[in-house]
Amino acid sequence: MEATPFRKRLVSVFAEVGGLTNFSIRFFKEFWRPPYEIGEVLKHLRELGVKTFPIVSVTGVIIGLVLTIQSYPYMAMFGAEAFVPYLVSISVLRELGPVLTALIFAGRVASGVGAELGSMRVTEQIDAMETMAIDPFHFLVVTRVFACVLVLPLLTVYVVFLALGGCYFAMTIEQDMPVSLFITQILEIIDLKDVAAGIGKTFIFGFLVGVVGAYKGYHAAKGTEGVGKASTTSVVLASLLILVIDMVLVKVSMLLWPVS
Amino acid sequence: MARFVIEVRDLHKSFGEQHVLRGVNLRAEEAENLIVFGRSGSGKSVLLKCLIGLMTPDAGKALVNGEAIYELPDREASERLKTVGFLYQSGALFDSMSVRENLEFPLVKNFGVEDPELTERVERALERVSLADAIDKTPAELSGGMRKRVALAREIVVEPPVMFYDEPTTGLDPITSKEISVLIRKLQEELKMTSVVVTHDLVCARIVEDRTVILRGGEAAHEGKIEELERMDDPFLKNFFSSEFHEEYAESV
Repeated sequence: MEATPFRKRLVSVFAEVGGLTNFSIRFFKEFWRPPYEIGEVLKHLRELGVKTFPIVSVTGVIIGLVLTIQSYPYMAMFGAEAFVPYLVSISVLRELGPVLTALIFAGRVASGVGAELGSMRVTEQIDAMETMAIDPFHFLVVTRVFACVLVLPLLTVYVVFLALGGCYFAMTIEQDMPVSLFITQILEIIDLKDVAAGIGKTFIFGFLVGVVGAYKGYHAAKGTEGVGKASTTSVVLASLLILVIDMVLVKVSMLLWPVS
Repeated sequence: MARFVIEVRDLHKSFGEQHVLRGVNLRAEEAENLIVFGRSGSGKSVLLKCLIGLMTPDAGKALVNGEAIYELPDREASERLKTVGFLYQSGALFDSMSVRENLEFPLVKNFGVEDPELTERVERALERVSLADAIDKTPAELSGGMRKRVALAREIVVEPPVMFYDEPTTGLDPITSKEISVLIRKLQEELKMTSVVVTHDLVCARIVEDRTVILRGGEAAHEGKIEELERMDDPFLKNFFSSEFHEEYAESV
């Protein structure tokens, strides 16, 4: 029986899910095995940080500004404008900061990792490493994925601070508000559980971005077309997974730390 | 009795319906330069990949020092590969590293070599390929011939007793191609490596060979010095060694 296009597509989706799962399991196996390539991890941390720093900086400030500017008039209608910092800080810390930073990170990093490893595959550099008796998975994949896991939470914390800065700036346009009052309001509402729920999930998002980019690049088909495809599909898949996993994690965090 | 460092016995390898190798037999003695000569698609590279364990044959054996690397557990296979050099068609230099780092990489990762020995060995390998000045350049700054030389230096820096070359002169102009071939010959004489050189470049084969095997129809069909093979009364060989055939090849390069 000849396979229909739908059936073929379904098979390829399952093959992709299986491949990515095996790749992730292999990461956890290899992660604990020496040698620990600390130098490589630090190199990738620097590269990834530098690559995404400018764009996340702009995003951070704009999130804070826009949220404040948009919500202020509505809150003022109910005489609740004083609660705007509460609203912005909670949304930025628990949801917008982590998710938007992760999506931007996916756009910059998953494509970069996918293209870099894809080009190494196509130009036989990965094969060369194998024939040199150096495990390319350990050296190339584990170090990059681990760097992603470490760098995304740091970037998110930075974005959250910038967004709160943006919020304060917008508030001062609307009304006279001392910094001390702004900080006090934020500290009143933010709890450790908000930090855990917001920043905690960025470790998972970082892992997703790294592992998807590395998986696509490591298994890139031969030729320049393969490299391009690895780069684009990395971004699409990583972004999609971030959104889906976020939905699950929001539910889990609500169960673990219900709003009191 | 001669010791065979490389031994291929009745090797078969297929990709779907395409039977690339159909019972190849060949052997290379210690410190011998064996040329595997054949047209494109005759399975030369597949043969090399079976020897270094990147591919598993369907049947038969591909042995290096009496062992089939593809049959060994990962850790043992890695140990064997540390003493085998492999020059890729593209050179396969690591783009993100300088020439120095490319050469240091196998020494540091596999043998834990440290300075001052590390620098001394890297410099010596680069001098052997006449590229001592390129030590701090990146692969992107090198020409095709220079990249090939650096790739060769990266393989010989660990002084492997066994060396495989996959089309070492492909993509190079005839003059550079001849220079690389002379270099391979010179290095083999200096380091006494056992080498298998897969090529379809007749000039390269003539310079490098101790003995030549011709792959045809998935088998090692002919064996001997090129001079002897040229004299054989076989239409395939006559055509293969005809000047037109190789002029066409040189032009395509």
